Amino acid sequence: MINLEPIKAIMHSTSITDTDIIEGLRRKDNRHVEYENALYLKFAYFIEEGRHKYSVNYEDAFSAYSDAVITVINNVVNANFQERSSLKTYLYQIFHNKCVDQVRKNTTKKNEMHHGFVLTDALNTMSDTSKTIIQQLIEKTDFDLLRKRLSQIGENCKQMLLLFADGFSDKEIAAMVGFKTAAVAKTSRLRCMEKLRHMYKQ
Amino acid sequence: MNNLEYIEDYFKGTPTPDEKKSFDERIQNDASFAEDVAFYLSGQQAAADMANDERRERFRQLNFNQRASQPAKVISMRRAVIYAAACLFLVAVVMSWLFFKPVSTEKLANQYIDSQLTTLSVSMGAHDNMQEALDQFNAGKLEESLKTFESIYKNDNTKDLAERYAGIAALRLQQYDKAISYFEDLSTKNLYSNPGKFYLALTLMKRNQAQDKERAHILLKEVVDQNLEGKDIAEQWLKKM
Repeated sequence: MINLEPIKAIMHSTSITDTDIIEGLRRKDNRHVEYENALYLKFAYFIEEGRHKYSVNYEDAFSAYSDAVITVINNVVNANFQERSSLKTYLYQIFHNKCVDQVRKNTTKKNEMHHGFVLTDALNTMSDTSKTIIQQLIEKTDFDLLRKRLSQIGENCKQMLLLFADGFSDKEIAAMVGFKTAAVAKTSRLRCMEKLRHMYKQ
Repeated sequence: MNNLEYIEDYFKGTPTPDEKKSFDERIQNDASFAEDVAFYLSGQQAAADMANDERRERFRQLNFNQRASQPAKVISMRRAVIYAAACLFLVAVVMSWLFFKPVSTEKLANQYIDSQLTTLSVSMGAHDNMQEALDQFNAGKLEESLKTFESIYKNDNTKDLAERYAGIAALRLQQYDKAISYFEDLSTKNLYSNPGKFYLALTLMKRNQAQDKERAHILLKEVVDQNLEGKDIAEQWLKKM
């Protein structure tokens, strides 16, 4: 059960501003979670609006909103959010697109798996030939099994791999997990990656 | 391990063109290295997906807590305004229908007759026969009172009050043609206060035959326009008809 009090305290401190949230999301410590939650709660009324506006059920509206918030978080953290509009406008535009996707998904009965920004960004750095080779190999990956192994790898390893995938540096991970240096954190994290590969191939 | 570190440094750093070329060549010429790259990227994606799954679960819990902490269903202000406007509109429609719906003219006539014409006031210094007729009327002896009023009027057709009361007695007895005859005659007389047209309209409303309502409507308008006796009631009825 999540304790809402710290989030309420953040939100009630003269109604949290966009700048507060953006700076909070970019914090590289455990408190960034509170700002993620604050962002989620601040515009949670979109769910009801989306439900009626796009005639989707509550679960679909909730999923669209959660995904929109996650996209905003990732874009803010990765500096893809240029702050040319308010967070509300930016979030609503993404939420709108997610709702439309939900409607299309419901209409076409499709439930496709979409892989995110990690693969897209990485593949774009390669030549076309290399990209094709890597894409073909990735298509053979059993992502369900890989996630299952990730959840079985142990709490510390999982935390380090998730934090790194979320954009935290080894120095920040070291501070959060309790390693003395970034180098130690990096070595440990890469060992976790090896362990994951070993478990996946078993 | 070494491969993973090399791969990570490539993706997280800013490789030179030579480094890029070298990386590409290894992917194309070394199947094992290509598998390492594919696994590294798949693992990163799986970790990112899992981090987002955990966020979704956290948001679901937040959502649950927030909804559980709200005693009543919260609707957005915009929807609340729409609902309120719809309710007001509905109430306005119902109220206007209740207020402005056409009321049966016969019902209006009955209400007036029951409240105003069941007893007649006894005039000061009334003639003996007139007093007798009024007593009969007020005692409910309508046929007797009608005969007495008619007798008074036949003997002296200047007695307009007797004609008026004869018309009322005939109306109460549902002898509409007779009542109409008396009131039509009364309405033509030049009196200081003449209720003839008003009672004529009342009788037509009560009879409620073809064209009666239309004729009553015209008469009531005349009562209002000419400021005749019964004007206030006529105005009210015109709004309801």
